[in-house]
Amino acid sequence: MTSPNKIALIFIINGVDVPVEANLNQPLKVARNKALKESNNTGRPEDEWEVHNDEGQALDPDQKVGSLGLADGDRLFLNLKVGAGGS
Amino acid sequence: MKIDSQVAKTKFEKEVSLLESQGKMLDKWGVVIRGIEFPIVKIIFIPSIILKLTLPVEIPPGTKLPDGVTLPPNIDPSAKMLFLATNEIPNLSAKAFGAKISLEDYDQRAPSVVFCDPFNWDEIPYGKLFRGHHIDDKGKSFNVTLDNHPLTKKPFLCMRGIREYHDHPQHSGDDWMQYREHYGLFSTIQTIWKTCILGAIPNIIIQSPKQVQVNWTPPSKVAK
Repeated sequence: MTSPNKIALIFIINGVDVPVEANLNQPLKVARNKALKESNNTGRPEDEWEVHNDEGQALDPDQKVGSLGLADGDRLFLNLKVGAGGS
Repeated sequence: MKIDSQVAKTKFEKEVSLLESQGKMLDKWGVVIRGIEFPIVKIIFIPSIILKLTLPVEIPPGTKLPDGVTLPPNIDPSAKMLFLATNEIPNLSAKAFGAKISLEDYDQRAPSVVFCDPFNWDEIPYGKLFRGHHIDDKGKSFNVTLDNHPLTKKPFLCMRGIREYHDHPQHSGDDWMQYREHYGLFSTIQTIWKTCILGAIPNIIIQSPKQVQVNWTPPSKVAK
């Protein structure tokens, strides 16, 4: 961790670890978008990607990283929003 | 269109390698890699979820209510009161199941999923299959384990990124090729885990012998 306001988050995109630096005072979507760019997952709009923790709980990307209770080294999952058939 | 066999094998090996690199997470989720033989990966999912049963319970008149609970002022104190009590039923928990995930022709085609008995790898008939759900942002649940796919005639998982979804005539407008670079073996397993483990937590509500309701409990959201 390089400063008190920054932590390292690891985004997992289809099994690939993408570590990024996140600012505690910025919305989570800033780090999300950085991970997408660094991993070349730019074919779909950024807001089509959802962030979940390892227990399947969705995280609000507009919330600040600090207010979500995330810690240095936390692993998060990035997936495209679901299209589902079904009843 | 068939993909070159060597290309397909190379892509398969890359997907398997990525999956194995996430071994610690798979352990935590209760996901076991049972077999790997191109183009098939056999996976066993082990849920550890306890079924909840909610029953009506009558409170005798005059019973002291819990702290913080008050009745409306116009209620007759001698009126009969019922409340719903939820109990966990450990002996009715979910069963282990297997999934055969095929990467044949991946990534020209999406991964395919077939649900199987993990003891003999026979395909599970729909009548004995769990009901997996996608639960949306508003908490509404959609059953995504469906029967009688128009092409395979088998039960199937109807979720984007899964071959049976994209091959279904109702989703012909949601072509796999738009998503092929974003979905693979690990994301397929993640989809199965979210819908068939997290999305298969039933809460049976029995309001009377003739009124039984099953709600599907979404994973609780992180506090905002």
